[in-house]
Amino acid sequence: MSEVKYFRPRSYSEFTDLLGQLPTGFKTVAGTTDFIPAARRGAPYPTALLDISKLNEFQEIKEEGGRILIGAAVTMADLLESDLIIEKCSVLASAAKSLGSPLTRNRATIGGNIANASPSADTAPVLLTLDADVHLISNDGLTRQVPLTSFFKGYKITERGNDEIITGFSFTTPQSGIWSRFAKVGQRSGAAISVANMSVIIDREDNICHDIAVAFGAVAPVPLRAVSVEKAAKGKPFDNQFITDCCEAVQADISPISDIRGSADYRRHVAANILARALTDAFA
Amino acid sequence: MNKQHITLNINREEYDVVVTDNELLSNVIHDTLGLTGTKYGCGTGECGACTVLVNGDPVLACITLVTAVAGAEIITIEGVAPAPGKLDPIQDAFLEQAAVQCGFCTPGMILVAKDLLVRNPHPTEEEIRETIRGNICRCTGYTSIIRAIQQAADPTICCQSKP
Ligand SMILES: Cc1cc2nc3c(=O)[nH]c(=O)nc-3n(C[C@H](O)[C@H](O)[C@H](O)COP(=O)(O)OP(=O)(O)OC[C@H]3O[C@@H](n4cnc5c(N)ncnc54)[C@H](O)[C@@H]3O)c2cc1C
Repeated sequence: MSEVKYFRPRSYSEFTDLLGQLPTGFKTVAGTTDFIPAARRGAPYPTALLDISKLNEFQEIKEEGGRILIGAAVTMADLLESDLIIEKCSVLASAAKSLGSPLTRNRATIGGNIANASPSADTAPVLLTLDADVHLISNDGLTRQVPLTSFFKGYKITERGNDEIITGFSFTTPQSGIWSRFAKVGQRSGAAISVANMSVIIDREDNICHDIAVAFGAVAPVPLRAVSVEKAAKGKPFDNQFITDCCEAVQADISPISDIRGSADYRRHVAANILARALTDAFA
Repeated sequence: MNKQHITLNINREEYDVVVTDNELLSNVIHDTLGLTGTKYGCGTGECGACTVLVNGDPVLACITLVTAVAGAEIITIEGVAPAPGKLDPIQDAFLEQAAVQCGFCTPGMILVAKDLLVRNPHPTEEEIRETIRGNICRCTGYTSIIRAIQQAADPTICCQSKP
């Protein structure tokens, strides 16, 4: 291992002072729950590490002007304990609760989960259904916001440039009265990586599905919105045909592979089943 | 290799240590400082044998960089007992319930239990099971561990292992 420079800003001003000075090839880290296991598997070690886990401003969860803002260094444990998230966006709390074990959740951050861009990342489908924006800042100090729906480009490839740091996420506060669910199927109930995961947010009245957002993970090279399902469901009344149509539509949205955790065929069945169960419960 | 000088606060004592860049917290605790209660198991965060408390929260020392916790309050299994020759009630309960066989998982189990009982002095069995979810034990089958944590929370639970 050659020399690695280590930077750990504690405030936003310390952080901005570093911008422009970070050596080319630096990598941002937070909880290191993905980074260290990957390094052990032989991933090349960066020349410098920017540790954002102690940066106060990146640890904030707040609501401003009808939008919820979540800093990149917010951990799964923070999300689980946040009254704002529990009250206004419980679907994100349930995804956070499903990630790893309590030990992992104390360090694993939302920024790391999205930056790492695993197809099975558990917060990804939720943020996709919330129409979240990713906030980025580059080493030059330039900021931009990218919709998460256009962030994942291919297997572990994202819109984020090498010198860009995720500073946080924002999304419109979900209306009260919507129905939502995060569902996850793993190989066992505790601390397992998803074989398939899903987030659903439904605005319904009586038995009409006014609006719906559905996203899946681990069933395609990237976490994605199930646009065919949404098209098949929007404006429709809930009945058996509705379920059949949605479960057929999902097959067009996903493109699962077979791997150590499950076969492509199994993933297709599971995706349809967790969707059917969620829709049934939503209109029960 | 780049070396740096940092101060670690472990078990209420300050340690000045020279660490190589990107050294793991578990290495420094176990190898450099000789606090061998913290075990290095899987190295990938799956088994929980390297658990330590950082500012009260249980974290996995094998996937944490030592530089990331400089200045934080770290408690290892050696720092759990209240005084020399005395044991924490959780440690007593582990002994009484025979919740220790090979002992490799025990430091991690006791530390996650410690955190749980501080936050929630009367946990349900379900909450105990959830707490130890990230700590693997290959000997006991977990039942005696759960019983020990229950006993530590409520000493009136009778001890089954004593004759
Ligand atoms: C035992 C175990 C179980 C796990 N279970 C799950 C699970 O059930 N579900 C799941 O989704 N994940 C799981 N994970 C994976 C991991 O914990 C999560 O993906 C976590 O959210 C990553 O966050 P981190 O802060 O640890 O990221 P790090 O490891 O610090 O970083 C991960 C990657 O993202 C980059 N990065 C981090 N933060 C930023 C940023 N702000 N800007 C730009 N790049 C950044 C890093 O350079 C690195 O490439 C598990 C991991 C372990 C060890």
